Amino acid sequence: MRRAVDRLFRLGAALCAVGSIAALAVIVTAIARRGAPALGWRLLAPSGDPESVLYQLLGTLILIATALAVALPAATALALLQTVYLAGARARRRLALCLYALNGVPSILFGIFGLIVFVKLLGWGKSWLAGGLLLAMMIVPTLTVAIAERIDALPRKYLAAAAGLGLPRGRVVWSVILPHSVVGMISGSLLGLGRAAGETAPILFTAAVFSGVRLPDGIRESPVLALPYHIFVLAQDSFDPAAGSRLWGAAAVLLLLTLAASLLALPGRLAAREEARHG
Amino acid sequence: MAEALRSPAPATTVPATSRPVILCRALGVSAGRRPVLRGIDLEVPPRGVLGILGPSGAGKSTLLKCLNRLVDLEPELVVQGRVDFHGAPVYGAGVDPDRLRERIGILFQQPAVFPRSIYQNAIFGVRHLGRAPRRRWRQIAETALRRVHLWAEVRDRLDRPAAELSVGQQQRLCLARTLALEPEVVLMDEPTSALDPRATAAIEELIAELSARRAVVLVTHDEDQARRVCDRIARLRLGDRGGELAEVVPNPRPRRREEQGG
Amino acid sequence: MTGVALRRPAGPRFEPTRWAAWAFSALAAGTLLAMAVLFAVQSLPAWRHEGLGYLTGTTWFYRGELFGALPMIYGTVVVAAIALVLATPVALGAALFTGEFLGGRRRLWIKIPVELLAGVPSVVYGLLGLLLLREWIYRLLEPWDPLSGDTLLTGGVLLAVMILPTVMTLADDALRGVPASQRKAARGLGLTATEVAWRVSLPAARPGLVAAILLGLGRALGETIAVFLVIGRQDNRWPEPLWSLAPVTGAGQTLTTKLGGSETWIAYGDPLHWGAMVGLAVILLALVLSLSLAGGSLALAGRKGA
Repeated sequence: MRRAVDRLFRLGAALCAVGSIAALAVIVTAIARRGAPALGWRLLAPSGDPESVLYQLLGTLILIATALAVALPAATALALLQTVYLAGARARRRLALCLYALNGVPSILFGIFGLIVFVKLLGWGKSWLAGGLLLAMMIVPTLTVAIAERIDALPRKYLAAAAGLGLPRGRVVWSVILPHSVVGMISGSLLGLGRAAGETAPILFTAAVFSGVRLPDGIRESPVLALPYHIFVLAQDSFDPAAGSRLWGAAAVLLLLTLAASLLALPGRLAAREEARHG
Repeated sequence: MAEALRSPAPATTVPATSRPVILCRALGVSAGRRPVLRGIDLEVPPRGVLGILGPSGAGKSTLLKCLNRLVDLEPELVVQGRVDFHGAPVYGAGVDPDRLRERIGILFQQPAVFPRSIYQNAIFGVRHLGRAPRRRWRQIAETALRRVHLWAEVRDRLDRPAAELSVGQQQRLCLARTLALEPEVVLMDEPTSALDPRATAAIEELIAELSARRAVVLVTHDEDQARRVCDRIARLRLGDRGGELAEVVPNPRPRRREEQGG
Repeated sequence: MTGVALRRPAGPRFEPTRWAAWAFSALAAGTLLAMAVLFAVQSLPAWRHEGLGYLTGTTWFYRGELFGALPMIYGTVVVAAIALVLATPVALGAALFTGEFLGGRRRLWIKIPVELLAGVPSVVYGLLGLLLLREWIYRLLEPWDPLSGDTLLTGGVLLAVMILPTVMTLADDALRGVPASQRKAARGLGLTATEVAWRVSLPAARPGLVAAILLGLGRALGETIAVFLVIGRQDNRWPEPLWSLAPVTGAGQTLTTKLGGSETWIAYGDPLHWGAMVGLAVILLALVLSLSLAGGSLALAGRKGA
């Protein structure tokens, strides 16, 4: 009886796990089946072709690059504060809580915040910079955790050795801790990239337009095209058959981009986590 | 005899025969391609303390864990050969390893108390295996704690977290938790290596008491400890292909006190 | 996070690196604070105009200057509740499988796809919701003669898949924080793997598991784009009588879908209307922040105990 219950329960747990994987399989095959016919160089045709998502892709890359350029230094600073500079466990706890809070803020609220501050108060109108800054705020917690995990996994003997040489703390940070956390920065950036590339809500009111522009050439009134926004708009007229193939091609490109980023981030991320448990 | 493992364990019935309670024949263990143990022939008599000594890496702990199939929890370990418990194969088809472990208890190197009260730890097995009705739990806990000489120290704070106890007390609590299930054999994996000399002496005394009525298999790296508490000593050595059994010798030792309580 | 112990320099010396770390962190915290303050201030006109009726009113009609947020709160809560009810058992089951029953590196075979699932953009979820889920839900509801597959139920089911990886990953972390020695001790007493999970691991990991559910709920409350595409975005759906499920099986509106819609553009010039819109943001922020803080402190407490 106990054995039967045990088997049944473990089988149930396994089914839950398989179900989660099946969800991924359904998503990927559904997008791949419809998007595959559209995939091709035509998607990246320089101009004129309505199927091309070249400028949407470039716009998304501009947003991501801006977001990473801003978020990476900020996240590194936060991770250092978390692991090195904050003295007490209590202060570290508070900072960690702040990160949970920031991470939990819904993306649409960043959009509204950006609308108020960048679009209206600063008078930028829709601008790639506004979108990049908002995406940066969103991915800072992800990046910080990835870098802090890496620093925590740093073998203590290196630090002891560096401190034993009489290096001041600032030097230890630059010569030991930061080089070691590069893996965390990369995997965190990739994770953040995956997340930022797919976000629609923050750029809805602040950075993205559907058509009429190519590349931004300033800050004020210089919106970009962006893949997720493109899909979002097309999806709302998905009853229009012409929208169909443009839609699925764009979705396939976006899914490819984000999944590739998540996959590339995995090795560094898993390594840090497994090490942190055993180290 | 395979039935014995499937039905609930009868309370404290140690067979009067002197036939070995556990018997290993050509027992071997490997981790992937790396051999850990090989060719172990060993008999555990129904009473007394069997010590297992040997250099580190000779597979002492692994041998111990083979006896109650705790090796199953480490999927990379493959067991060959034969282990019998009361003449029935432990690795046979239809054997319930969980039932087996109820009857062959184990004590680890580091005491592993659950993050609960002392009382809840003492009755953990009895309660969750449904061995006794709720009204008997208090009595069972007291008996078990008395048997490990912990009752006097904890009777006033049974509802305090077990983690508040000293390491030595925690180890005795773990032993009480196992004894509450009335196992026929108690396996001990270097149970005193985390303890100070006083706590070690307390455990050694308990081992002597326990072994009057049941089998104890004690893995230790401490030659003196083996001489003090064991009735027989099995020595492992490191062979080319994993640990091997070098010898089993009797170890005459001072007469022990009879087990109290229970 | 345990932190790294390093010797502080003797005496009050200026450390540029440390200074920079503090400055950046202040910036991050300042942004969050600025957001909360800005929202609160800009929503004042609505609170003045409606009073508490803003939270309890069931009619939102901006031309008539009527701003009742209750139907949106209802929609948000219902959608998130459906998601949580559906996702939690599966996520915990999967976490038990990887964190408790599967040992060693084999668990990565589950963990990696789940991490990938977490990386799927919400607009893609929304798209598939439009394409597949809406159909399925429509057929499921056919006996009740639905108007379309755009329902709160559709949004909830879609969200369930979206928060599954969040809950599962955090729960798996919590379970793996339970010391292996305790599992081994319980197995040594003769408990089955399932009994060990129920009697030892789940109780020991409880703070972390609750945190996983709270943080998952927080994500569900705040998700916009996917829900936006499948929920029908119909204002003023309020259950009459209160236990009626009609609003669940029909179109509705959540706080986020209202904020993500075109009304946000219309509202900006008018302080009252804009105040009412930002008020929704205040409600959402308050809900989500309390969940993140509760979940976060539980997760941190759980980790410390592990």
